Parts: sequence; C-alpha cells; structure tokens
Amino acid sequence: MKVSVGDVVLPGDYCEEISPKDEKSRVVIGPGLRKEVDHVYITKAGILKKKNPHTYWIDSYQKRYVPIRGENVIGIVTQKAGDIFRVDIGGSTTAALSFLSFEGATKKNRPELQVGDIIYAKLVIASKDMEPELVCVDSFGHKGRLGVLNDGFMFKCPINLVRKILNPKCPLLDSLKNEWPFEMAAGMNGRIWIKANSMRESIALGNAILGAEFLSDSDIKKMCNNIAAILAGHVS
Amino acid sequence: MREVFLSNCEKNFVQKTIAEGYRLDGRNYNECRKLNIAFGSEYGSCIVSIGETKVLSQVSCEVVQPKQIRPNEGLLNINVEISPMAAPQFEANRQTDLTVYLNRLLEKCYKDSKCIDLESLCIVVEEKVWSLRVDLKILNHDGNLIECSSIATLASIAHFKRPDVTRSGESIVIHTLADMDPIPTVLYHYPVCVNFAIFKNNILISDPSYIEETVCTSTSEDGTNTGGLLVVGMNQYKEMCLLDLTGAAIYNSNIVHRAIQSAAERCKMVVDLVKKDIMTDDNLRQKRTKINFADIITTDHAQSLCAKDLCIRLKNFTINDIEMEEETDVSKSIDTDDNTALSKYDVVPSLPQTVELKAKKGASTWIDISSESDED
Repeated sequence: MKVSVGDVVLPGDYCEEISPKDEKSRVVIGPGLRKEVDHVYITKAGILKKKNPHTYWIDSYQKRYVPIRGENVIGIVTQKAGDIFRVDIGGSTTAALSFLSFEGATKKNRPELQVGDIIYAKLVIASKDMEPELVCVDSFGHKGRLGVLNDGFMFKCPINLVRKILNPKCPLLDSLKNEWPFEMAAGMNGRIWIKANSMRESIALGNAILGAEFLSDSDIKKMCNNIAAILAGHVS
Repeated sequence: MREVFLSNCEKNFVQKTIAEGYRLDGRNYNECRKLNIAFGSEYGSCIVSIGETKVLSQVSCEVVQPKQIRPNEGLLNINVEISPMAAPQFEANRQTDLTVYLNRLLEKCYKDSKCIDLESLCIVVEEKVWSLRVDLKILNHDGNLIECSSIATLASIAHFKRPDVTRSGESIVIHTLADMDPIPTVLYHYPVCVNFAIFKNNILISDPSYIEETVCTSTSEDGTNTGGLLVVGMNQYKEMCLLDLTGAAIYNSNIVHRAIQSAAERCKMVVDLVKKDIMTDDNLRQKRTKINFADIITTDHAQSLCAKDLCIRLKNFTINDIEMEEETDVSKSIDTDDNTALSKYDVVPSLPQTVELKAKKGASTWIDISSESDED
C-alpha cells in the first residue's frame, strides 16, 4: 500500500515521497526502510517520520537492541578476558571493551572494574559481521560522561521510550528535575540507570520514566506533579 | 540457555528496598499480582496470567495400555516447554534445568498427591485406559512461573472433559462430543503451588517478580546467600502436598509457618477462583456461547496500554490519577459527598512496620465553617 509521512505503516508498504528530487540531492533512510529497485519499502511496523530536508525513518516499538555505531549504551561487565572486558549490552552478542579505552589508562595502570559492574560507553564498532566494540573515552582521550556507574539502579525499558525521554522536546526530565535531585543515564539499548538520594526517590523516578511511555506531554507534567505529591506526602 | 547477567547495582538496590519495606513494583510483601484465567474453545485449554507472566495449558487424552503394576489406573503426564518466546535467554527445543525443575514440581504436586481419580480413567482392566497429557507452554516469563504453571495445570485439568465410552461385549465405542456429553475429570482435591521468595532469612515475599526471584537466589556481594525460593503446595482443605526449597537453608522454622499460613489463604482464593471461572465457563458453553482466547484481547487491552502494571511503581501511584485530577477541579466547586476515596491525611497501615499517608485525589481545599459562626 502507498503511504505518506506521518502514517501508521506496516511491513511491505511503500512510500513514493522518498526519492531524490534532483541529481545532486541525497536522501537518508533510517531504520525500518529498505531501498528496492522501484520504491523504498517499509520493513517495520510503526510511524513513518521525516526530518527535513531528506531524512526518513520508522518510529517503532522495539525491545531488542541492534547495535549502531556512535550510540551511547549501558552494559554489564560479564567477563574479564585477557586485556578486554566482555560487556553485555543486550545485543545478539556481547561487546568488547579494551582495558586501554579508559581515561588515563595504560598497560600498567588498569581501570578497576569488577564483573557485574555497569558502564556507560559509546559504540565505536558495530557491524553485522563483527563483535561490537565499546570505548569509555572520546576522541580527545577524555572520559566525559562515560565510565562506570556506581550504586543506583538499572532497569530495562522499550527502546522507543529511551528515544522519547531523550527527545529535547519531552517535558519529563524538565519537570522532574525541579522536584527532587537525581542522576540518570539513558542507554540507547533500552537500559536506564538512575540514582537518587533515597530508595523511594529512585523508585519514584523509575515510576515516572516508565509511566511516561504512553502519555502526552501535558499528561506527563501532570504525572510528575502527582508523583512528587505522593513522594512528599510520605516524607512529611 | 544463555546465562542472564544481573548487575551488582540491581542486586544491591533490590536487597536494600526490600530491607526498607518496599518492593519495586509498589506491592506489599504479601500482595500478589492480578491473577486471570481465560479458557480456550476446546475443553482443557486455558491461559493463566499472573501479572505479565503467562502460561498456556492444554490437556489432551488418548487410549493406551496401562502399566503392568497398575492395571486399573489411567496415566497422567505433565510436560513443560519453555521457548524463546518466554524470555530471550531460553533456546528452542532444549531442556533446561528450569524445565526439568518445573516438570518435577508439578508432577509431585498433581501426580503424587493423588488429586486425580486415575481409576476412573480405566476402560478395560489391563488393556485400555485413558492417558491424560498436560502440555504447558510458557508464553511470557516475568517471575513466579511455578505458581502460574501450577494454576494453569489445575485449571486445565479441572476444565477438561474426556469423551464418553460405552462397552458392548468386546467392542468399545468412543463417542464424539456431539454424540454424547463428555465426562469431566474427577478431582478429589485441588492442589496449588504457591511460591515465596525469602530475603535475608526472615523476609517472606509472595508472588516474586522476575528480578526478585533472581536476586533472592543469587549470592550477595560478600559471597553468602541468605535468600531462596520456597514452594508450598497446598489444597483447599489446607492439606500440604509439597514443600520445596531452593537457595539458602532456612534456620528459622517461623518463616515456614508463616509461609504455610499465607499459602493456605492464597490456595483457598485461587481454588475458589478456578471453580468459579469453570462454572461460568460451563454455563456459557451450555448456552452455546462461543468461547476462545480472542476474548482476552479486549479493546481496553489494546488501546490503553498505559493502564498496564509498571514494573517500578510507587505504592500509591495509579495511572488513573492523571485523569482523575481533572475531574476533581469540578468536584471542588460542587463539593460532592459521594467521594469514598481516603482523605488526604487518613493514616492507613499498609505494612506491619510502616504507616503511610494516602494522598486523596479529590481533597477539598474548602474549609468548613460551623453554623454558629453564621448566626453571629
């Protein structure tokens, strides 16, 4: 079936809007789209989205992670093997993280990581034929926000929820940050790490994030107020 | 089966929250998730769900030769299957420790407790008996598989009806369902396995979720394990059929007593629900109403996805609060009396050790002025 931008689409549909207007222009097609001879076909169920000038993708509900280069993910260290750590990032295979890809790490000065620790890292290699590789430094050798996440709590959620809360237009984090202090790291692999002063505040934060999944922007604000009220009611 | 890795922070957090008196999903220690039983179009098929855990069960029967040592008894087989559909760490067509454990536990609970009258399944002594086979398929794994699969087994066996058989001399006729009314299975009692998670050797948690189950059976940071899973099989007459413990040894008999008491209540509730559901299902079938699994998917289900239970939830949080807040604006001005919700400062004991305030959605901000002041 022919579809256009903004529609709910199903695998097998095609979109004629996605085509270069002239010789020079380029079209970027993202997840859920595949170019065949005649048209661009849809391979996932979801909503067809467009970003000007020529970027198209499908916004779909998904829980399983497929590693993509450049994304920040949260992983669990599962093994120390030679000079690499094996990190479970929720993909089909574990990812590799070298001892040396930490800030200030040398052969002598190894980072202290235990099996079971969770790390926030960036994917530098993610090809379908190779093991994905992570780093905890940027190209200048600084760690930035990457590295080991201590304490707190990590939970899993659908990948589209992570995209939703990371969207700069989403009011969730803006409304929550005024209510109580917390730390948060959202991995694009559908894992969110949170840390607040007390257990109850952490639970409230997790509750707010998971509850925001199907709510509109105004409802999210209401929910945040509601949760803050519940939280305050108990503390007093 | 691929191993599931649990990070240290998850482990510590769950241990700490439970020690502080909360659970991740906002339930009380002895609170269970919502139990739902749905029957399929055939006799003996049902889907049981506890929260997000779902188990499909189907009973089938065939005529076989009985065992030599028990020539006048029918056979009962229970077969559990866990596919990657349940959780991604499982592999297809591969037996895991969990499958074997579940299978054994259910056999202990249903076969060894002699709840089914196997003699009534006999057709011709030493020659032909009915063999019942219960196939359980785990559709989704979110903790407490034991309880869910045991309720599924019980409900499907109780719901199952086998074709009627008549003998005339040597020949045996098995009637079709249209020919003659099928015969229900005779159950002497209804056993149910109830699962508890034990934390720190003295905290008992009923209906543990997936993360609670994994945390309580895993070793804590200092290498010791102080938790475990306790399964209590019990029937509606409070007779115990099964007791099973995995994890750390219990050195406190008190906890077993508490578990048994709690299990007795739960079993009564479950058995009543199973019986009631089978009764309503039977009535509907007699009225020739079509029943199938499509009934599970209601519009409510498909549309309001937000109404599902969150796996991390504050105790007083309900998603409906958001919509209710809008209504309260109206009720504030009208000042209606029919609000049965708790007032904002009502103290409700929710746990043995904690007392907390329940926020009221429709709390009026108006201050009552007594009539005397009006007269002045």
